[in-house]
Amino acid sequence: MLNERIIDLIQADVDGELDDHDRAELSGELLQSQEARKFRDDMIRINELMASIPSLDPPVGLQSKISSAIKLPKRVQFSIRSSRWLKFASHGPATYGLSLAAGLLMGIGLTQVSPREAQDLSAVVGTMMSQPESQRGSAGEKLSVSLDYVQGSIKRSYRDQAIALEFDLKSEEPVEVTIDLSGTGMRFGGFADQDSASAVEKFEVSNGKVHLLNSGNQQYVVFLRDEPKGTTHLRDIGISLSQHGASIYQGLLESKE
Amino acid sequence: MDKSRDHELILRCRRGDRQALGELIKEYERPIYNAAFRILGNRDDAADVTQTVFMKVFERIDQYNPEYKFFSWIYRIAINESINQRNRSKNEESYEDEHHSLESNPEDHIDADRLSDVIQAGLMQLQEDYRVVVVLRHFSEMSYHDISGILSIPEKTVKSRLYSARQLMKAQLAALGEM
Repeated sequence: MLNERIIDLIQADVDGELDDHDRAELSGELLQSQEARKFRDDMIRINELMASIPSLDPPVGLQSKISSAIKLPKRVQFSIRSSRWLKFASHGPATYGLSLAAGLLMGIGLTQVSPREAQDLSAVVGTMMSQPESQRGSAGEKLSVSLDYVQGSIKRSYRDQAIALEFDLKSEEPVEVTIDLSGTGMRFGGFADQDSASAVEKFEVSNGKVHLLNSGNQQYVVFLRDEPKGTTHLRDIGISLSQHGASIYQGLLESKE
Repeated sequence: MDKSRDHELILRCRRGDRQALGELIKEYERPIYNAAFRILGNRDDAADVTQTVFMKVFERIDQYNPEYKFFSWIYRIAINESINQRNRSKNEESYEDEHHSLESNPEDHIDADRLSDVIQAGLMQLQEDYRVVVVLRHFSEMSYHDISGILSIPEKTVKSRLYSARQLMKAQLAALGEM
């Protein structure tokens, strides 16, 4: 009568799950026990018989039937609550090849307009990791993001009369970026997606804040322009990142030249 | 079943990429269909289950945790759906409708088709929890660890069920002259 240990070893052997140490033990048992050898031969035979059964072809058309029955989310959800943000950048942002009008309305498509509550940054609790680098001129200021689930940078530069916030982030899970412009004397001026392989899943401008939701490689530029009534920047630009509703990062970019 | 590739496809699906959806279905349609068939013994039911599995996966795609293997998740849904389908239809008869009678002289030559029927008949004779581990191990080529994860049972239980199932299969195959 084989004991449980020998049975386990033999099963693991025929299933390809035996390590070297156990294999040595099994070899010794097989040399001594005819019953063990017979059991092993039987297990091998059963495995061979099972393996000889060909897999079946699924019915023709099943794949397309499944595909057509599944509804995926819209590629982009775009909403703007305040019409004052609809004046897009023209000169500076054009150097990136896209303005918001071209980039979103033509390249991605306007698919949904829905109201949405704006976030209150004052209520956000999280780790502040602002790492400003004093890079005047075209480079601007930079935030480096190095978290478990999000890595990359957000760089501020100047393009003609516009401030360009260059996002270069990587994350497996969707990241919501909020750009807080309230009190900065600036307004949203345009958007350019620099990575054609990724599509912004959600884009919203409301109450002085720009919200973007994206995942994977996220390379895009958000352009900011001065408010018509003045150019005095009162506050720096608040950048916050969140995942699944939880704040994971908060930082500031200088808004003044 | 490349974990990182699956993850990439899922992220693209979440962004509405239908090409990624097509790739994911193409990758898993056949293995899920075959696993369902081996549990159910009926092609129509297996096709229905396969479709239901994908529907459920994409209904819950936002709940998918990338820390876990996608194939474990989809197989778990497939096993549950197959068992539910089996309980709903009680289709032991429908299996017999599809296949030849197994009453024959053991000395007859057993060709590949008949062997397939013999194996399937043997599987259908097993109690459900034994059948599931045999299907996952032999037809889906899962490791003990993967089976343990999919069924939420200890590896030790996987091994003991496999042992019992194989002993029963051995007896049935021996009766037909295959052992």
